[in-house]
Amino acid sequence: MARYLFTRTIESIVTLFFIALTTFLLMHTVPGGPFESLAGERGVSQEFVDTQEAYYGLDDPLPIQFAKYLGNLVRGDLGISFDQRGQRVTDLIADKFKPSLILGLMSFTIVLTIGVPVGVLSAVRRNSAIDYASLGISTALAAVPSFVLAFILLLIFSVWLEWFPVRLGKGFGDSFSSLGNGILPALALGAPAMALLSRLTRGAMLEVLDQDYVRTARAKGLANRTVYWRHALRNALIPVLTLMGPLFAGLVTGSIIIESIFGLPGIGAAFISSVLARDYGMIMGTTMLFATLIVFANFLVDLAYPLVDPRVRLS
Amino acid sequence: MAVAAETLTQASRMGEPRGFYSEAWVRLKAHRAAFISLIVIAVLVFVAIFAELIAPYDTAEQFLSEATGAATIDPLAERDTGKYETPTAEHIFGTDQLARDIFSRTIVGLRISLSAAVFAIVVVTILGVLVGTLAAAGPSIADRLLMRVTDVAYAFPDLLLIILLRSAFGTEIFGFQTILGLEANVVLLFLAISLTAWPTMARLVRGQLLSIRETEYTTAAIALGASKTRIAVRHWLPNAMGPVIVEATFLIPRAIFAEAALSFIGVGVSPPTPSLGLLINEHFRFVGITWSGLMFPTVLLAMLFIAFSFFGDGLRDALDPRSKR
Amino acid sequence: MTRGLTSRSWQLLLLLAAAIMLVAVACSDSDDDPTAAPTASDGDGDGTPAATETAAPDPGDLTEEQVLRVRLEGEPGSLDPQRATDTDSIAILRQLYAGLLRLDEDQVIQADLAEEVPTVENGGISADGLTYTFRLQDGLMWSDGEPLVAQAFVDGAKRLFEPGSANFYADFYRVLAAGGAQGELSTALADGLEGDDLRPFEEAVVSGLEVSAPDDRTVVYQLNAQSPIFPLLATLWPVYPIRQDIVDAAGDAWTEAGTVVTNGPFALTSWNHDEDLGLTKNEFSHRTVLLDEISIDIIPDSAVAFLAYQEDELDINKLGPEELVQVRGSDLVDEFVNYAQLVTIGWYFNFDDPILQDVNVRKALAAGVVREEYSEVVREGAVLPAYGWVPPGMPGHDAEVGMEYKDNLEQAKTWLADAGFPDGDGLELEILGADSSVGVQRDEWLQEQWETNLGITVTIKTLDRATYFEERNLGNFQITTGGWGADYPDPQNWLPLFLTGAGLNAGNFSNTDFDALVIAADSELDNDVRLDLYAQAQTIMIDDLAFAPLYYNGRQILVKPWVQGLVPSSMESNSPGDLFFDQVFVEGRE
Repeated sequence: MARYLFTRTIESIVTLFFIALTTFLLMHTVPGGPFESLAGERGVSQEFVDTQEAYYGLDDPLPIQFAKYLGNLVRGDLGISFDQRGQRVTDLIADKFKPSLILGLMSFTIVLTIGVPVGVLSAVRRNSAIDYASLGISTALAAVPSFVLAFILLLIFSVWLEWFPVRLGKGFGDSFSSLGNGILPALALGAPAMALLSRLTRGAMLEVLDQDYVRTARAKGLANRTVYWRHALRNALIPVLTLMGPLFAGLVTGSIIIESIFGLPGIGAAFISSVLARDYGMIMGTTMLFATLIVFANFLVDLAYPLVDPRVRLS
Repeated sequence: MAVAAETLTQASRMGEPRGFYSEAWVRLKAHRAAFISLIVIAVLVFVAIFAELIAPYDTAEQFLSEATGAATIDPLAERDTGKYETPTAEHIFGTDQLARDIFSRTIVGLRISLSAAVFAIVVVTILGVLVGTLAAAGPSIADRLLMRVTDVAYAFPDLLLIILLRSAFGTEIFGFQTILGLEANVVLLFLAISLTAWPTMARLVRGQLLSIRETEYTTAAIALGASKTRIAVRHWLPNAMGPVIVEATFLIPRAIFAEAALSFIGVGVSPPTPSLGLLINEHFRFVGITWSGLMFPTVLLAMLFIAFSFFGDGLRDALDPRSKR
Repeated sequence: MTRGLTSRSWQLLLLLAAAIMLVAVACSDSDDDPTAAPTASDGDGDGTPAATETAAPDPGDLTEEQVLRVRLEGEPGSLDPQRATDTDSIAILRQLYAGLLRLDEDQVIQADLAEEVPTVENGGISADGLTYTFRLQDGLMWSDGEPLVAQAFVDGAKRLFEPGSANFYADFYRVLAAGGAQGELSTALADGLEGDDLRPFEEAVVSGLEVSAPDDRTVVYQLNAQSPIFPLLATLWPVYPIRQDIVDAAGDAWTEAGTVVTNGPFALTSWNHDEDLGLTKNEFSHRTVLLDEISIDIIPDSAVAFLAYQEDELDINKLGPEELVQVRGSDLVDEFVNYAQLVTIGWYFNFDDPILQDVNVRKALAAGVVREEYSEVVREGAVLPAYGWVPPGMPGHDAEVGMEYKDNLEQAKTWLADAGFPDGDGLELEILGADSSVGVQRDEWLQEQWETNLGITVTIKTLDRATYFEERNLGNFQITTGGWGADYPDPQNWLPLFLTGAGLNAGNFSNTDFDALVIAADSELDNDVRLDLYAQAQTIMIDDLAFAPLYYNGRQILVKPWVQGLVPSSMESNSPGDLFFDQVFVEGRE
């Protein structure tokens, strides 16, 4: 086990290195740079671009730039942002990650605590009204784009019911009481995942409920409840567990649409706008953050497989 | 004992004249909802293919009213512009923000969206199943390596890649302006969308197979002398199909919305080409004026998704060797 | 010598008087001008909406919470006065800083921090027109209580020309550089020197900068050539005073809330990037400020902003095309204000493209669109059809230029046939666009117009923003839309943009007659002659289609009834009324 942990950690670091490398190369191959579009239509002089590039060290050969970046990275320095002049990437990311993290965790909780039980319920009461209702709702949640859903939530809860302000992102995360405002965006963010998870759980439960050892267990006379919840659920959780990795990483990274509509500028918007503005420091920073999340999350998932299904052995 | 007996029955069933997959087909046809969905899908595909013939108008044609040329125009005055119309006899889905016929744009848009969805499903499923199976079936070194590759692919900033591909290839790929009737850059778009979705599929497949490979089926099959490939294809995959199908179905709205979001940033379809996702984006902007614009492409997308969902359900039930249905 | 000075000083006096009169006349002209902007709903017919009629109260009388809630559509690019170029940033800078002069609601130059507007009469302008002396008012202070001294203006000007900064607006103030040093820098640039090699030349420019503070209350600008518009330039943000000590201490992050110290009506108390900004009344401001606080929310989505406005979370909101339609026939009509902007939008032709080099093709395209349909039917009166480059409401506007492209579809087809494309056969063009919903709509409309009216084939290629500007700057396009918004109300801000090699001149338009006229006008002191030179230049550029205008922009906003004293202006930046937020107060919010 210790050996497994050790080798996995090494692998993770190597993986992160490759992600950094490929992102770095891709970033510098894409046309357009951080300075050409600063003045918009007025255009910038080549002199301006050259001076800025020299100032930020962008005229060094790529391998040297990459080496410098890695060197700074291990010391926790992610560089400076070109888009937000004078701001350190580390500060910017920390600033934007905080609301994203809180929102992502809220969303993750909602998705799991609603999605999985609903799926189980649908499987257990197959073809009943509950089953069809939940199928219908999950379809609606998945087939409607997130900004429409977000806007509908705003209309209902902020305009019609006035339970929340329209600008509920203001001050989110700064105080405990502001967390309540996160419910709407958390719902909107997690809706498609909730739909997916409930259908997945339902399908996996259905398969398992028909399996032999369930019938065997019932034949042995265990109470219905125990049959369902212990044997069936455990196996049905494998695909759910697999998805928890990307789900967690995805929810915490957020979505630029949700962030934009609810006024919660987080990592999602930061990544997209950094790509569009070719803000190299921020692109690398947000990508490495996301990469770390996913690698770590998948690591945990792999460790958790044997817990859910004892038959699975770690590599 | 009961388990072994069941396995033997399975084994004997494998020797029946009707093979496993054709039996699956029979079961699929019997699943009513799935069958109806298949028909719906077929109709939608038909409409998508022949969209230009079915559409009453050109998708770019603007039915704007004539300008009066008056010196002062009051922005607050009510006027008949031809835009944002609710359904009428001439325009059964109404008109959009440039007074274009929404019905024509919706069914032509269906083509791009359907293509995106099918492309994504095919590429993601094949790639995901392949990688996932290799990871689960092969030596542990293969598993570790492939999973790390998956991690890299997942964390990769796909938007950058799309921008690069767009600028590198412009309007044609290796000399082809259109591939299968789609613009070259649109195909690139689908490719890019697929490349972001396959890692999750691969992990799903692998996850399922990790638990299945330790089961008695495998032991029994090996005991009966089946080769690893045969085991993988005939035993493992059908058992993994459940989550794969659900995930594949969800790729439809995901691919369509991804394409819409990219078009919004400027790296998607070229205006004025419609796609369901783009139409939803555009029509959402004037939902305060009339909801019909938003409703039609959304309903169509929902229909597509539901149809594929039920079809997927039926497919999974059909392929599940243990299902009693 | 003495006689020369006397006649010269007469000329200058006339010049200044003429300039002021012209500006005033141009504004009231819009009454009679049929292409003037429609009046506001509470309008009194003068083309710009009246400031709400209540007289400015005494700050002590205000009992309600004096908070104004406004919106920006995007994060300000930079709150550094010498570096900012985008209108979101400029809107904020106008609140944070005050300069020597400012324009009032009638676009007349008034004194702001200076005691009076310099003229030849009061000695503020030297007889030869090359020296401008500003005397600062007494007791000016920064927002931290430190006294504001004249050196701060010198620091600002020097910073504008900081070696290596290549600030965009430095070009506007080249008159300040010592003639010799500037000339040598230009030569060096032309010789292809770059980066570190240019540094000594740039440093020579800075040290040779003829801006000085002989004492704490006097700022002297020495020009290297007479400049008819220098007073206008003194109202703009690139020459705002700065606290050099803070810049030195904090480096690039000196503009952050809590670090920056400013001298305007408001101080920056908070800045949550991409989220909001908080401005509070600057107690040390020399202007009387009525508001206690301005809260600025960054809301990119206009549908959400509209909701927020309706929920009273915003006090002022701009209306997009879809919101405009929703306002009709509702109660919100009473809160509606409509006014012109000094903005012209149209499209550029790439003069390096062989097809577009044929003037007949360009003329056909320019005449091949029905601008009235765009402004009246697509934009429903939010904009006005444009045939010229300089928009109405400022000197230099020509209502007659470009009329050959109006109501002339038949001629357009003839031109096209003359160019070798009868009925448009064989002509394929591409419009290059960047992301933006209004932009895409505009491009789609143009495409449809040309395809329907002229029979040609047009495709639209969209790119993400950064790639778009790269391609545009490289000249990899045939047609692309864009335009300009006035920095100050004078044609000198508009025509030089199309000089050979200018930054905005993406299509590489080059006409020696045009260049000659514009360069001559730059130093022409007789205002009539100057405006005439610009008029001729504009005619050339429109005849030759350096740029094909499509519309003059307008602004439609909603203002809550409790917002008093708001002065919308055609010169404002991205936040309605932002030029005169110090006059706003809140009453009746209950």
